Amino acid sequence: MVENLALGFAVAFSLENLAYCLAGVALGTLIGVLPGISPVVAIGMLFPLTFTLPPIASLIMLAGIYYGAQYGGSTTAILVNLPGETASAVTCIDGYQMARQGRAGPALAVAALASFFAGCVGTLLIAFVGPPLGEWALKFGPWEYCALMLMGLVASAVLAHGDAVKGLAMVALGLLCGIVGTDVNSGWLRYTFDVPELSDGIGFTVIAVGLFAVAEMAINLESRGPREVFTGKIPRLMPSRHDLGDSAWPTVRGTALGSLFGVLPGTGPALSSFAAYMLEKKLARSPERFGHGAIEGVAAPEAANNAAAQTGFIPTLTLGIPGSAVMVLMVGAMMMHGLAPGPQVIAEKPELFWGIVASMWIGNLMLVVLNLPLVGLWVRLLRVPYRWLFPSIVMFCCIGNYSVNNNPVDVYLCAALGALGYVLAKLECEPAPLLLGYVLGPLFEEHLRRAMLLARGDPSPFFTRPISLAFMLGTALVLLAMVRPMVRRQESAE
Amino acid sequence: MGYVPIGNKDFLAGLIFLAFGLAAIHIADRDLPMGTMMRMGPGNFPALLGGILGLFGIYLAARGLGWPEKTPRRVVWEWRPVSCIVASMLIFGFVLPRLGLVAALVPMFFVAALGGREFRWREVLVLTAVMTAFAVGVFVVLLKLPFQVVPGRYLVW
Repeated sequence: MVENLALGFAVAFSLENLAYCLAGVALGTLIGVLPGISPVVAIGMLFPLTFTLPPIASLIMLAGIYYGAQYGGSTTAILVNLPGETASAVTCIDGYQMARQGRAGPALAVAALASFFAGCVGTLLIAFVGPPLGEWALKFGPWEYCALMLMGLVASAVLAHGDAVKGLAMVALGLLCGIVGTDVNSGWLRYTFDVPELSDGIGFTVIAVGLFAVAEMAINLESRGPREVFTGKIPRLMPSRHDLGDSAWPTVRGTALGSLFGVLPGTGPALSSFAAYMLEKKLARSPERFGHGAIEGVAAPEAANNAAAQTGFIPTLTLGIPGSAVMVLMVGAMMMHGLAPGPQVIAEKPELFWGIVASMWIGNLMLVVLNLPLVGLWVRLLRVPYRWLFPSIVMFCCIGNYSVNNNPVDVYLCAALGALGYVLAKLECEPAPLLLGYVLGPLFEEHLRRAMLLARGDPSPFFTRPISLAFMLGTALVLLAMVRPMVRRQESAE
Repeated sequence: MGYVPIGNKDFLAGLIFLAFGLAAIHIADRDLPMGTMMRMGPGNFPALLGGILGLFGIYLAARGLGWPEKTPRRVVWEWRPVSCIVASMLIFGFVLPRLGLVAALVPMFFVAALGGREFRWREVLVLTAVMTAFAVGVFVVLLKLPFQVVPGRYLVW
């Protein structure tokens, strides 16, 4: 363990990787603070910028962008009452109240420190849990993989917010999107409509940018309503001893809750911050303070969402099963660099795995150092109007997609998927399950075919092999959890 | 009766999924060999997915039909932002290989900005100029993407 971490830090502390980590964290915060840009959009947008880098540097930078953006999101939540992303929606409740009471400084500082603490714990967890989990997963046959992916796909659809049936349909649609292109087993062209550019499949950036960035911009441009920007000076940054004492245990509890939720597919940071907030409210001696600037209401969800953001890397890096949209983007990035995500990554590319783990800790430290003194700058950025931002995002999307293959077809496809994404988003269909289906589709099919071939067309091993059976039961459990509230809703309607 | 649920979110989503599912099955059936249970052909898995997608579509559409007429589940479209953004991307893709980055970015910015809530000529002009210079500097000079900047010129130093 120690030598592994040492290897990781040796990789992460190389001047080059430190620079990319810093660049990622800074860019991520910058973009997270800009109103109306979520971490997914930030990563999707800056994704092509990292192609020219070596794989480790590119993943380190992307990871940096991710938690930088997440961090920036909580800054806007506190100062503007505008969550940069769903995970910090809960932080708005008490954080913004604190800002209005002139306690924006302590709120920001506590958010940063709680996030940092959670980040450290999360990083350690990855280092301890990752390798055994990966080793265990190396024993998986095609049945186990299929069942595991099925569970991940179903869970991401059902547990994510929004309608579960629509989520499942989006997964199926995403799996279909992943099929487009040349079939690796038989060489047949599938769903290419005689477009030569489609024979390699629909590009990952095309789907990610189209469904997330383009569609989200279109939605953002219609949501109205003035927003009140906290523009006053931030008088005192450091929290008092009393504040720190009040937020210590909530931070620990939030971290524990977040670490647990982060590993589960589909739940991720958003749900964990919400759960942490509810838990604190339950435990508090005077719950009526919540909603009126309780510092626990900032510390716990911030710790939880950061812990979940970190531990989300565990299934992603060790099993190759991403749990959230951002993790899907990370897997996509690995694939673009020719790395197949999965349990073999730790064994074959230890410097990659441990380098990323170590860089995450460094990145978290950088965030604290970078953000607290620079809060004034971020506040000023909040006043950039969206009408300047969105054409610039369109530019990044265009150039990014074009540059992948140096081909305009990718830009056209991205525009078309953006339109489709807008329509689906208006119909309350979440894009994240689709993206997950798209990424896992080819792998899923390959394992399914291999499983059927090995068992001579007999599907029963899915239910007779113990690990596979466990995953199948897990899937059934998740589906059951989906059906039950639906039945109850019908009963109450009658 | 007489109520057409075309504005209902569930109904519309169901129709879209059903259409994609049927199309997937149709194409798989027409173009691709299905194979056997033991040796699944290239058409097998997509046809299966198409079927699943279609079933979800039918369920959603049926559920949409069940909603009463005046529910808040009606979708309110706003086509201007999305069409402006999509159009600006199409223009960019069309112009870039022919006339270069600058000629592609200028109309892209103007058309995209038309999708915003307010359009101020002078602001858009300044934004376009600044961001175009930024794009040339970062993407062409720094990242060395093989774009022509103006017709016939690949790199300007």
